[in-house]
Amino acid sequence: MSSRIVETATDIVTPFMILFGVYIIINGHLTPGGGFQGGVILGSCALLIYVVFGIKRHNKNLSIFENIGALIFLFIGVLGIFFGGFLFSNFITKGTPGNLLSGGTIPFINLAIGLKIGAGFAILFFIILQYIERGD
Amino acid sequence: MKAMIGFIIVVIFGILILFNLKLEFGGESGIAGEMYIEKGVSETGAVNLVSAILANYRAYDTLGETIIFFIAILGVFTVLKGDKK
Amino acid sequence: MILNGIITGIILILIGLYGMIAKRHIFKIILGLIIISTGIVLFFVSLGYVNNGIAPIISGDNLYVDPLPHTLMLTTIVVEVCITSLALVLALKIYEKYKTLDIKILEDI
Repeated sequence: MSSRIVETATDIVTPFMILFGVYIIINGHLTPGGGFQGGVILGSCALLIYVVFGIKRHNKNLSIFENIGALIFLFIGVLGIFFGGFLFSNFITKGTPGNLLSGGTIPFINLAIGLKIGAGFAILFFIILQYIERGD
Repeated sequence: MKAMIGFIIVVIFGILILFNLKLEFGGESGIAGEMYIEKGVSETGAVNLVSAILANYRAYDTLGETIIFFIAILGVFTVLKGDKK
Repeated sequence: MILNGIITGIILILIGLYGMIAKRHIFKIILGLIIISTGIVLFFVSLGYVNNGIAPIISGDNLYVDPLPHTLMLTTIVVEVCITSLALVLALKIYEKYKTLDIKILEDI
């Protein structure tokens, strides 16, 4: 139901949106941003694809990504019990503050949250759009 | 009638709050905030303090938050797809 | 009285409270909930402001804003999204079954 112009523009814009979301996630401990914000950008990218190309583009394996994100998050937390003494302790070496590889477990937790929130928003939009297309 | 009662309640509430609240705008930050600003970088290694608090000091809160989000998705799924015959 | 962020946040909370008490349409009640949540976010972020402070990303010896309210308000925003989506979906189901969203009519059914 969308026109040729909208489809072409979406094709051009979508990779940059995904790149921006991943940038926000992996630079979450250096610049403003983090797992939630980048995940919401990824989810809105999924919403753009659903609106323009229809919900046939939905990937059934998306819920697996959400489970993987939650499990990585919990796994890092439980690993902190064995190496640091309490839940979610920062057991990796901190590094020099300001580098990309610093902050111990914080970048990994941000990645897990971003994966979970992005996949979760995509699933949420998919369920609602599928309901709208199915009803009357 | 209901709107009138609501308006009166809100006005009384607002007068009581706005004229008795003594919160200054732009004062000093609290004790916990001072501690995070002083020790945050050396304890976690992350420059962005909001991310440091969210993913290290209060990661347990974040875990609960993701569980709330998961339950919301589950609720939307159940309500919208529950009666598919 | 000077109009700053704290007082504006309280006024937004009161406006949302009035909307939730007085309006009879379910969608307007949900809108009141969203306005209350926005007011809470503005109130707490203004509470953590320090005069001439900059954003809490440490670089050198500057004056920084309190980082704790920002983190807690991030939590509030996510919870608000969850509550709003669930409430809107339930309102959709109510409209599908009874063809109205007016509380006065729904009470009599």
